[in-house]
Amino acid sequence: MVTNKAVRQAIYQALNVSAVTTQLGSGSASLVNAIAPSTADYPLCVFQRQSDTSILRFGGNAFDNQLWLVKGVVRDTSASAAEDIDKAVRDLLDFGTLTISGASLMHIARQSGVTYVETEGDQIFHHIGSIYRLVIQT
Amino acid sequence: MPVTLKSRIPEIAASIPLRTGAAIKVGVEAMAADAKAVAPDPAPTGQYLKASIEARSGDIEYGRDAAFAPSAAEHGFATPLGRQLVTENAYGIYAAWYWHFVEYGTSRSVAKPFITPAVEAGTPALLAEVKASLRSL
Repeated sequence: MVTNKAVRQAIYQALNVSAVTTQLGSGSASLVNAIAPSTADYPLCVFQRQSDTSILRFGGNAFDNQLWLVKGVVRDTSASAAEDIDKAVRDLLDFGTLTISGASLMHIARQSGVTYVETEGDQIFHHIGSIYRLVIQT
Repeated sequence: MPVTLKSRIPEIAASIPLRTGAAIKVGVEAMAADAKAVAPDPAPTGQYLKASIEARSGDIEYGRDAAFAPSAAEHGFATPLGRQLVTENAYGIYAAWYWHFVEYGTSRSVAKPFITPAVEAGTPALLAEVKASLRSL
């Protein structure tokens, strides 16, 4: 079984490159897992695990099948910055590579898109991202 | 003595959507039940999100074999009044409109996925149901 921590760190490492961080409010500090602190600078890149199922073969856990959401979040009337983050992430992760401690990545590919708008008072947040399927062998 | 051969292919072709639709219905209902079990109900919405989750058929209809429609009720599909059409196998999980804020998170709240895990966990069982329904043709 691969730990959530190992996959999270691998994704962070893959995304913590200039192609992504130059588009974020505070570079690497705006690349966050699950939720950003209230002081974070937008635009953000937020990633989190959405599901994790084990595939059993021959009486054992053959591999883990995980879905991760990676999205750009911008506080603006325009969604452009979030769209650019989604594009940069997709270029890196779709059929890309991850180095996962203690496990081997068999496959990573974009599965679907996620787009929604959140309003908070007079502020507008655009959330635009993708769900990636990871198949991991331990 | 002449022998008459009768093809079952039309009957089989007509029953495929009903049988697979019934299997999908069973699978999606199980997914919806799982999603309902784990869905959070953050204040101040009370129990609304959890209560709203259910498996629902879409409004996709077919009439390719109207004569087959009466048996649709045996598979759990409603026959619209006044029409010899049945709702086909468009089946999904319905939840209150703000489900995606809970599922994917907001600027202030962390995501609490409840539909994706249910769909992922229930897909193998749903596919097994579909395969079993086709084997019995």
